[in-house]
Amino acid sequence: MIRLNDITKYYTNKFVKTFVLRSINLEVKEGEFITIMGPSGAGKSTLLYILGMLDTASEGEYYFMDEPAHQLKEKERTALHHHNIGFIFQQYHLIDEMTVYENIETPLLYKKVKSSERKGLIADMLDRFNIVAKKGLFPAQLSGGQQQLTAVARALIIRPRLLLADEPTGNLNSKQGKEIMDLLKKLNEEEGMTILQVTHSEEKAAYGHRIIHLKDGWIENEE
Amino acid sequence: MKSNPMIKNNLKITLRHVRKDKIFSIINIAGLAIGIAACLLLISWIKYELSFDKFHKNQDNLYKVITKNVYSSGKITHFGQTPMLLTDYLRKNIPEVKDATIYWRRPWQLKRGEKQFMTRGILTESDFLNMFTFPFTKGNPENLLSEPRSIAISESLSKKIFGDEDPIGKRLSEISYGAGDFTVKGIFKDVPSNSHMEFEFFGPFNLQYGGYGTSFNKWDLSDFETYVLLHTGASQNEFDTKIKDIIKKQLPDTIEELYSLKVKDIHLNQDVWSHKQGSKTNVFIFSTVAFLIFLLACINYINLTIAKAAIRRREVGIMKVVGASRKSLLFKFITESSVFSLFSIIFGIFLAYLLLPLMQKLSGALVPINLYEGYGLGMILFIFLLTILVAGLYPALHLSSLKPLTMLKEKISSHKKGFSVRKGLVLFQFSVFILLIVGFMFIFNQLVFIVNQDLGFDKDQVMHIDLTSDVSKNWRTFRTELLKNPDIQAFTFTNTIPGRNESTTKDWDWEGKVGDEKIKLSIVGVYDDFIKTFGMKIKKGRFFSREFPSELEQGFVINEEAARIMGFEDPIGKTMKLGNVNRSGKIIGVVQDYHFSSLREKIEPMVMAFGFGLDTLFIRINNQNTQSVISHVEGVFKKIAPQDTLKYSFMDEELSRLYTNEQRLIDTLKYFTILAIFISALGLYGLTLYNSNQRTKEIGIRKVNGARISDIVYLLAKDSLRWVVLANIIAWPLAFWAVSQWLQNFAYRINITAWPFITAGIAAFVISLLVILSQTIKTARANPVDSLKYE
Repeated sequence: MIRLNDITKYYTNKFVKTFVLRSINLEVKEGEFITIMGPSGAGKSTLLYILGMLDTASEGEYYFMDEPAHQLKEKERTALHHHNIGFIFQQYHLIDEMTVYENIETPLLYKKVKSSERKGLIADMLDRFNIVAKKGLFPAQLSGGQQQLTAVARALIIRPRLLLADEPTGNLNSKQGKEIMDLLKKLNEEEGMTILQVTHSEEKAAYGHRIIHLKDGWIENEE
Repeated sequence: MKSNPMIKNNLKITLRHVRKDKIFSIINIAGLAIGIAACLLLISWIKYELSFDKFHKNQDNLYKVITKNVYSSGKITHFGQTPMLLTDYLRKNIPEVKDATIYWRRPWQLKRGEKQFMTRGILTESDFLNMFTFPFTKGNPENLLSEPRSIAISESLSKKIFGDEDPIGKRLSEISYGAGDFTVKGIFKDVPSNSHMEFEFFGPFNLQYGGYGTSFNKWDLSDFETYVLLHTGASQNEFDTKIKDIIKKQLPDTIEELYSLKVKDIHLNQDVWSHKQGSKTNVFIFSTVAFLIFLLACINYINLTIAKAAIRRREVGIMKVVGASRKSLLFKFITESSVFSLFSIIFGIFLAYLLLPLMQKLSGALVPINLYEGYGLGMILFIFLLTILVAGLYPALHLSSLKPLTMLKEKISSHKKGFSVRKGLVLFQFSVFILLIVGFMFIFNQLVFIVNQDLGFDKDQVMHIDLTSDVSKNWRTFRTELLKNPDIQAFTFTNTIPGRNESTTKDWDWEGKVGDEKIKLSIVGVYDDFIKTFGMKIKKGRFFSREFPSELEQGFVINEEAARIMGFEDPIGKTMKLGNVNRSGKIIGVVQDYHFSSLREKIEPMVMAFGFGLDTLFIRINNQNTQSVISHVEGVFKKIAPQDTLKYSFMDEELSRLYTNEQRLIDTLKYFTILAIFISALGLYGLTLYNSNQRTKEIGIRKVNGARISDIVYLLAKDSLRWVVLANIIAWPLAFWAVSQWLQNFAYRINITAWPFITAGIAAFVISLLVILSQTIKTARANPVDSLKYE
C-alpha cells in the first residue's frame, strides 16, 4: 500500500541543513498495524505527516497505492489524502465552535456528500462509538476520552484506507487510553484498516504488528 | 445553489464566533459601521454639493454672464452683475445664444388684505421658463412672463399667504417699491435647496416694478444678472471670445470684461459670490476625509481579523486536515466577512440616519441620504464588496495559504521583527490620525485668529435694525425715544450692512493723480455718531462734526489704504472727487484700516461720505443689558410702526456669517477627527492584542526568569511606539504641505508653527501608550505557568 524509497527531510536555515529524516525506506502492506517509536526529535511525527501528505519530503520517492505521491501536484495530493487518509492527534484538534455532530460532519461537507446520506453515516458513527447522547455538546463539555472518540469518528467518517495516529492516547488517563487502543485494534482486526501510530509508550506500542524505532532521523531497527 | 450546507455551516459557525468573542465582534462591527456611517454622511453631503443646479433639463448649456475687472496692477475681481442692455445685445448679436434673460433679485413686500409678507423674488423675462426647469403645479406658464402685472408664486409662499385657498386669479399688492397690484397666474414647485437661485415668486421684468427709474437703461450700471442658454453643441470658448469686449465697445475706458460660467458650476465657484456659496476646498477636504476614514475602518477590520486569525490558526489547520480545500477556506472567510460586513452596513446605515440631523446642522444644508436612488444602492453595494474584498480576502488568503502542519504544530508563531503588511497598515492608520489632528488644529487656529483679529473696529454690541417705511418717515422720533434708554449709547445710519453689497465706484479722482487707472473704491455713507457706534480709530485729522457744517457736504474721511493708493504722506486738506455721486471736497480725516469684509480679502481703499445713501440703521448698546435693550427697542418700534415686526441682527453674528464655510469645516471636521481617533485607537488595540497573544509564552519565560511587570510593559510598548514615531515622520511633511495649501486661501493668516505637529505626535503617543498599558499589564500580571501551559 505504501512504499517509501530513500525519504529525506531537512530544513535549510542560513545555508545550514538540519536533517529530520534520513534515507527512510519503508513498506506498509494493506491491513498492517504499525507503531513508530523513538525519542523526542527523532522525526516520528514528521514521518507521519509526510505519510499523511500534510508535509512533503525534501528528497526520495513516496508511492501511495501505487501512485507516485512525490510527483503529484498539491491539488491531486490533497485529493488523494482526503479520500483515503484519516488523522487523529494527541490534542484531538476538534473545532471548539462546533458540536460533536458538526465536527464529525465537517469532512463530509468538504467531500460534498448529500444531506440524507450524511445523516445516515453520522448516525451510524455516533451509534458505533456510543456518543449519540453527546452529539449536541461542544468539545469543551466532553472528557478527554470522549473528545478523542469524536476525533476518531471524524477521521473514520470518510471511510479511509489508512489511519494515522499521532500519540492518540498521550493526553488521556490509562483507562481512556486503553479504550481508544482497543478501538484501534478492533478497527484493524475486524475491518482491515491500515493503521500507523506514533507513541512513546511500550505498552501502547505492543498493539502494533511491527515496531519501527527512529533515532536522529534514521531507522534504527525494526521489531 | 439551493440551501448549500456549506453556507449554512459557515454562517452558523460565524454566529457562534460572534457570540463567543463579544468584545472582538463589537469592536470589529462597530469600527466598520462607524466608518460606513461617516462615509455615507460625507458622500451624501459631497453628492449634494455637487448636485447644485443639475435639475435643469438644459443644465449642460446654461450659463451666467460674469463681469471681470482686470486692473493694470494685475488684480482681478469678479462680479455676478451685468448691465441691463446686455441681454438684448446677446440675443441680437451672438449666434450661439438660443435664449437669454435678465434676472433681477427684488425683495418685495406683498400685501393681502391687512397682512404683509416680506418675500424674496425675481423679475425676469419670458425666456426664463424655457431655459430653467421650475415646474408648475397650478396655472399656465405660457405667456405668464410676457403679461404685465402677473406673477407666479411658490407652493410654500402660496401656503403662507393663502393657506388652503386657491390663489389663481387672486390679487396681491407690492408696497415697498410701490409697484402696484399683481395677479397670481401660477404656482410653481419650491426652488430645490440645491440651487444657487433663491426666489419665492417671479414676475415680468420691468424697471418700475423694482423701484428703478429709466435712468438704469444704460451700459455703465451693472445691477442686473444675465443668464443665457446656448445652442446644443455651441462652444463656450467661442462664446466667451465674442462677449469679452462687449462693454468695452460701449465704454472704451472700462476695465470690465465679460465671460461665462456654467450655471451648474456656480455653487462651487469661489470667484463669484452666490447665496449658498459652496467651497471646492471643503468638498475636497471632506472627500479626502471620507476616503481616509473609510480606509481606516477597513484597515482596522483587517488588523483585527488578522489579530484574531492568529488565534484561529489551529481551527484553519484542522479544517485543512479534515479535507478543506483552499477554495472552501476562502469561501468560509468570505462568508464570515460578509456577515460582519452586513451587520456593519445595517448598523452603519442606522447610525447614518441617526446622525443625519447633526450633519444637516453642521453643513447648513438639507443633505438627503437616498439609499434607494442609484448612487445610494451603488454605494452600499460598493462598500459591501470592498469590505469583503479588502477586509475579507486578505486574512482569508493569508490564513488559507499557511501549511496545516505549521498551524497545528507551531500554534503561535514566534515573534518576528521587521516589516509586515499588518504593521504597515497600522503605520498608515497612525499617519492618517496625525495628519487629521494637525490639519484640524491649523484650521481651528486660523479660525480663532480670524475671530480675534483686530478688525479695526469694535464688532461687539452693535445692533442692526431693519428700517421699515414707517420708521424711515419718523426716524427722528425713533432716535429720540431710543436714546432715552441709557444703555443705548449711540445711533447712526450708514448705506449698507458692512461686508454686504458695498457701494463701490471706479469713477473718482484726486489732486495730483497720475495715470488713468480705474481703481475700485468703496463708498461708505456715514452719519453722526458713526465712529462712536462702530468704534473705529481716527488716525489723522478728524471725523465729520456738526461744528464744521461745510465739511459735511464737502469733506471726506478716507482709510489708510486709500491714502496709500493716492500716494499722500499727509492727505489732510487734499482734494478729491467722486464722479458718480457728484461730490467733491477736501479730505478731513484718515481712519485706521478696518475689515468689514472677510479676512480672505485684502483691505480695499475706502472713502466715507456724510449723508450718502443712508438706509441702514445701527445702534451701539451697553454690554450688560442686551435683553432689556431689545425690549425697549421693540416697544419704541411698535409705537412708531404698529403694522410691522421688528427685525434686528448683531454685527458680530453678521460678520461670523462671512466665515460660514470655515466654521462648517471646523465643526464637521471636529466630529470626524474624533471618529478617526476612535477608529485608530481600535486599530492599535487590535495590534497590541495580537502582539501580546503572540508573546504570551515569551512573557511567561521572562517572568519565570525574574522580569518585573515594568520590564515587560517596556518590552511590549517599545515595539509599538517605534511605529508611532515612524508614523510622525511620514505624516508631518504631508500635513505641512496640506496646511500651507489651505492657508493660501487667506490674505491674513497664521504662521505654520511646530507645536500642532508636536501635539499630534504626543497625542498619538499617549493614546497608543494607554492601550498598550491596559493590554500589557493584563498579560504581564498573569501567572507565568498559565501562559507557558498555553503552548
